[in-house]
Amino acid sequence: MADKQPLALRLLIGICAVSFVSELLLHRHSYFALEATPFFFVLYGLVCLAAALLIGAVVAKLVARPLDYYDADMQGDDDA
Amino acid sequence: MLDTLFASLFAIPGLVLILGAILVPLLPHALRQAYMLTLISLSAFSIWGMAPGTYLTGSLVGLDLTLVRAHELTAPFALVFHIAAALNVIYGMHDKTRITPTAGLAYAGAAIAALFAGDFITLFIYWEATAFTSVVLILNGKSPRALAAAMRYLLMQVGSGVILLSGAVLLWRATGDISVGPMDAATPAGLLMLIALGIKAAFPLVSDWLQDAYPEASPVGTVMLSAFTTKLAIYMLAVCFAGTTPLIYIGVIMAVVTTFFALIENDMRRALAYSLNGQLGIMVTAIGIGSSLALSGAVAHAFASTIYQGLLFMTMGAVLYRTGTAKASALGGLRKYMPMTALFMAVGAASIASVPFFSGFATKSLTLGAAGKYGLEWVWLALLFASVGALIHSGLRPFYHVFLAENNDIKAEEAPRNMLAAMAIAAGLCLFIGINPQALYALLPYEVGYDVWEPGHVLGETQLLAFAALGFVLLVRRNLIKRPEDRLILNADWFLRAAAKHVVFDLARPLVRLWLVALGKTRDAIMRLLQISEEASRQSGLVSGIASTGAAAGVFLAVFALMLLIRQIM
Repeated sequence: MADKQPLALRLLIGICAVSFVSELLLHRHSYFALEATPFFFVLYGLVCLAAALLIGAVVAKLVARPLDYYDADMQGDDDA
Repeated sequence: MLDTLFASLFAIPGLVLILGAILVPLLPHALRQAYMLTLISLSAFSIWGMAPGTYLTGSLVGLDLTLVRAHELTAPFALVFHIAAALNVIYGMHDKTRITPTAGLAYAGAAIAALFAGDFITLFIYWEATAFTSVVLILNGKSPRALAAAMRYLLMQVGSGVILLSGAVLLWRATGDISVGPMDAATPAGLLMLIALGIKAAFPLVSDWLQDAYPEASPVGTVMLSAFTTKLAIYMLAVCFAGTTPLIYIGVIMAVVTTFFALIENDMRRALAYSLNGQLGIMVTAIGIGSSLALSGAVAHAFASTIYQGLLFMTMGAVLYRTGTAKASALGGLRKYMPMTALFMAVGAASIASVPFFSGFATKSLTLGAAGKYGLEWVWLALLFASVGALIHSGLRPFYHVFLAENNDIKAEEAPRNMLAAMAIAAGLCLFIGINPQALYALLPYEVGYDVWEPGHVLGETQLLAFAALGFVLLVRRNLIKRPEDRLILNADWFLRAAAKHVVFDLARPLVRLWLVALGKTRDAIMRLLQISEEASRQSGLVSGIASTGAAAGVFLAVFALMLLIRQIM
């Protein structure tokens, strides 16, 4: 199975390449100016990926706690 | 006679499943499966082709009730609820326990009956029935965590029902009519209804029962839970609050914020619960837009997401069933052992991410189109972001951590055949809808005037997702996507589980102290009274000498009872 990963990756690169080139040949019916901007979706896909991962990392720092967070909290009450 | 009984049983859609569930635990295993599938088929047959209209009325303490009424949006929801119920049966066929299928069938029946409720009192009854039947599925997770989560779940669900009932009372007092129909959220009754529906639709800040409770159920239980409650709320929102603009903002927040939580969650079933919440956000946004195209988008998306979200929960349920965990931190390398499950997961992931030719693309495009037609550019951008988010948190990330990442410690068998069969049917439906969306659009009440295959739209969605996927793969190959840590992710339920608890305890502490002091003083006074009585009796026969012996015994018994009562209270 290990050799299938590069195949999947090659396929993905192929789809990216074809869709990238198709942009040059296609006339788009758009609702918004952004949508009509060449390669907007390519850029926006990458921006969304980066934003999701980076903001996710910040959120994790804020809200990740040890698994026994609530149990420990309750234990504290019982002790009190 | 038999005809009358048969007709009565099917007069209320879903009732045959609720009543039929009574027999489920009594039947042998194989017969039970056939029985449940037969009931679901008969139920589906009985509602097939029901045109919008009122079918059954009644009255209760002077209130006119509409027990069965088909709205123009009812049919697609009723159909997908039956499909989900049947898939649940197939997925759970290996499970020898009786409680899960019993509760699951009754839960499906209650949800179907609720779809046809024509007034808010009838809806309230089925609304609470879905709560009480579904909580059994969580309780059957059989762990202290499941028990605690089930109680919190029940609190929210029953609370939602009570708010709904309060709204119905206000509505009746204001208008004398409790029919389910379009409502104004600016009125007290409308606001209460919106809050009640919002709790079940997992609006921000009242959504955490979903992520808290669903992953605590058994693998089969979670799949059942994922189908009905939230979609019932979406249906009611579409019927009652279509075009309510604040829903656009609420929906977008749901779709975007849940992305971050799903991305950092280690428990893959909990991540899917966040993902389900995000999909609900897309539907709520569409309902808020409220045009016929947007409502078609909401209904179609509810239909498709019931199936693909169920499929994703099925795949992670199968992983949990075979390995004993659904935590990414403990998994990896399962593609060698569970290749079919991995394949079905890929189909579910492609569907939820709106990859062209998969169901999510065919349905989410309608909401994107509606946002475009109304010039809602920020909504359109947010929904595209949600697509990329879903691709990562419900597709690439779990697929990598569960099936691809190296982990030599895990060995597993492929999922049982019945689970694979259910997954195969669900995956087939995802592809069928994706390739042939007109089949789904034909079920919708409004004509879908949107060309989903417009080349620019297909190309844009392909570029968006393909380049995001390529970016993710490159990050993986550079070891920048780390295996998640097994940590608890706090969310809004912290307010209930920690903050509110402390506030309540801190506020109540002086009162509790006062109560304890008062009890202590009362006890001392009684003891002192007894002492005086004894001394008086000894010295002058006050009790035994003046009163009769029976009366004296009565006094002592009363005092003793009072002491016991105080002891019980303390």
